[in-house]
Amino acid sequence: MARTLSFSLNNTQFDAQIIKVDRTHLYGTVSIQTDDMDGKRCSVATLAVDGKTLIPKGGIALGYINPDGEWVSRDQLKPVDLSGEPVEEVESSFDAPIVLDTKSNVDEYLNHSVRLVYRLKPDNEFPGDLLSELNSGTLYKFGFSYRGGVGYDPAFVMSDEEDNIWMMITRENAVETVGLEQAAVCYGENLDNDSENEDNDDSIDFSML
Amino acid sequence: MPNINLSDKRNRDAVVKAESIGIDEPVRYLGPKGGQTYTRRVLKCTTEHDYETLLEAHGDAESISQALIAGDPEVDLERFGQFLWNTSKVYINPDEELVFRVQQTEVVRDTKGKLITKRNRESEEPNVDSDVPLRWTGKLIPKSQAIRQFVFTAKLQVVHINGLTYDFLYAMAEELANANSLMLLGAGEDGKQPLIFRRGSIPYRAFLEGRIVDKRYVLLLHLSNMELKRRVENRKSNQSPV
Repeated sequence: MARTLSFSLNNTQFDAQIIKVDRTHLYGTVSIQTDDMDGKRCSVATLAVDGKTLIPKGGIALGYINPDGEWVSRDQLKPVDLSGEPVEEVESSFDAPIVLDTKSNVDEYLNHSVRLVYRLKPDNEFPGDLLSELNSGTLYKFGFSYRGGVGYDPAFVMSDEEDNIWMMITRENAVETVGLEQAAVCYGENLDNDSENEDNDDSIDFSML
Repeated sequence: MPNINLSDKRNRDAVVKAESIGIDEPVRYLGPKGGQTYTRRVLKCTTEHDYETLLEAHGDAESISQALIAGDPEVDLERFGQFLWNTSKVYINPDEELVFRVQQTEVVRDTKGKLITKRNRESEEPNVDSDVPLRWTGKLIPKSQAIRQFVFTAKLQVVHINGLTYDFLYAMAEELANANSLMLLGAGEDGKQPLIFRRGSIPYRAFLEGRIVDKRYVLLLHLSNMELKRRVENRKSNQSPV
């Protein structure tokens, strides 16, 4: 069952279900099946540094320790930003209407990498104001947090060419101009790991990826 | 960061850098004494104490529950909780024995989870820094149209490595900025293949964007493996994407 978000635009409130869309929904899946040479199904495990301790899936936990090596429980942790200032915890975006009061533009959107894609399905109808703004190319930017916690993710509401309304959950990138004497600053983003193919015409084939 | 061999509209090519531009986690956590905390991986269970081993030892689930009440057969007090480092990923068989030779098969399913085919796994070789440069396909897509057509899941910033490549990239950025559009890039001899940065990694469609401010430029490689469109309904499977 899709969850419902409330939005507010120009003091008009409306509700919309969020329907997640990812590659599996569009192109299907490829899973890797691993067998030994006798045809028995294998699974991935972790081998400890002693070379003999086998740790099954789910057998590793993550814990926090302080500089003295002492265990710190999660409720003792205090989130701070890079300058050491406390970071305020935010509520889940499902707890209160999301106010669409910040317009964005294509260049700002292009500075973000999309993490999650949701199609918005209105409980009734989208307000006419929203549709006309989105259809004219406007994007709305806001902070989104699914469960609440530390900080919001930048999110955008936009329409596509078939008038579907989308909510894109993103992460910001550090895009900086580069001059002759200066190389761009290097930050750390990873390209994930994972493949099919086809080649006939000039159309861009995504099912081959 | 990877080198990429990139050509321009005139098919002049040069090897340049593609840098990651993601921002590191802006939040850190302090402990009760005010010091910075660190995450450590901790041993929680081994194959000698997992459910399958306990089932083998005790016969059935009811007997396991009685054993759990009577003692701690699922815990190794000497070892559980120890920090882990330098671990390795390995394959084990159903008897929880290490396996040294495996055969891998790709299981392809459609959007409804129906099996389409099984085939031997093949890892594609990287193609962004090969003898054949990445090419401009000539497919120029206005920015406002591109963001409504494709989902850009990752980005790399293309930067120069010397004065010559500065001129090369600046000219490219200027042309794309004037067009206010993204250029689809392609790999391989035919210039139509998706980009593969590491062996066996996700292939991406790549779109090049240019911006200029005075004598400074931005060349962004927008990477996408998905179109922005409604999903095919009634899918059951929850496996990794094609």
